Amino acid sequence: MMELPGWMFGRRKSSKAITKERLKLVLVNDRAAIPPELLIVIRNEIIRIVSRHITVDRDKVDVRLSSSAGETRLIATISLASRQSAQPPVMKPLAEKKEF
Amino acid sequence: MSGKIITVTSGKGGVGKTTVTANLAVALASMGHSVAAIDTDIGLRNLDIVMGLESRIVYDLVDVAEGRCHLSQALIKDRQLPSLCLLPASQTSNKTAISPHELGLIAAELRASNDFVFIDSPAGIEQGFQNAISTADQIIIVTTPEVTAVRSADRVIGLIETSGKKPGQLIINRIRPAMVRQGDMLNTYDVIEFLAIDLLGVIPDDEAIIIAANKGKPMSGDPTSLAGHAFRNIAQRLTGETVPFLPILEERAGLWSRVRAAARRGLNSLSHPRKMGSRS
Repeated sequence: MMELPGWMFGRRKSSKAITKERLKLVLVNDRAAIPPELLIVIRNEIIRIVSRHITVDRDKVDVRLSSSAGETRLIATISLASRQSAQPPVMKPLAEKKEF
Repeated sequence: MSGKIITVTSGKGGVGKTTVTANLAVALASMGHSVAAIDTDIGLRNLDIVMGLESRIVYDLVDVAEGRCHLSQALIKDRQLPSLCLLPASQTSNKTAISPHELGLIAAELRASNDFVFIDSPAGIEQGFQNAISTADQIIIVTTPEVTAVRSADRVIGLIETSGKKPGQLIINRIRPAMVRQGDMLNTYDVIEFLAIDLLGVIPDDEAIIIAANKGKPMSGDPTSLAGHAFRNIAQRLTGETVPFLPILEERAGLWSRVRAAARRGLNSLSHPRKMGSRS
């Protein structure tokens, strides 16, 4: 049966749909035994590392677990800043690679 | 005779473990099976009161485990159903007062003289829960269609898997058909999809359950109650019969009720704008 899009009736998201989305996220974290607070730590480190090379939009970096077909993935979505800074970040050689 | 030991557990408290245990025990005893129920919720016993046997307790589970009495002295026989008996929990000790080994011995002794031995597990996932599942032949997980209960059930299912037991079966308690139709409650399919275990039964929310607990008479014998019917069906499934699920809740809502539900949600959200939470 064809579903008419909800917006045609101004239909709001049902509380069931909201709870399903939330439950899905919570269960993926619970099952992997990776609490959301650890994802925040990972997110901040990703921002730190990527920012050395590219200007990222810090507010639009999303790190989450996703599970499908019995496989759990860590998915990071990193939005770049709309305009990269005029001077590209200098590629600083890493301290331990000075001998090159 | 060698019966089956069935543990009823849930993780979260208040979802109906004790009600389910009492009603299944009564339903099976009414069908002519011999049934023993063990309350392992030490310190917070309640199965006795739901079964209406609270005034006849002399000895309890911890007394038996510690050798203060013989098992037969602690068992309370139901007056209406002579093939049903209860081993009550101690109200004064705590959950570590008994070890998995001790509970296993008691359950094994009861199994020798009963068709079914129910173990009513305490809430939580600590020692009391571990005790209750360690000796089980079969595990029933009780949940309600609420986000908190489903999350707890998922955790418990994981712990049962870790313990090396075979997967449990699910009872979804307190489904409210009207809320399911309005799109405000998870339905059976949603819960099963999340938890990915076998369904043993679905029990509709029914005021008769509270009234029955008030009276201390489990209502699975009540022919007029839908919940009673659901309990009897589950009891039959436990004996190995195939019983179709009650056609109570699962039909898709018709167009008209969907339109009404959508209209109501529209009005509600005008007066209480809902901000979606974000977990990031």
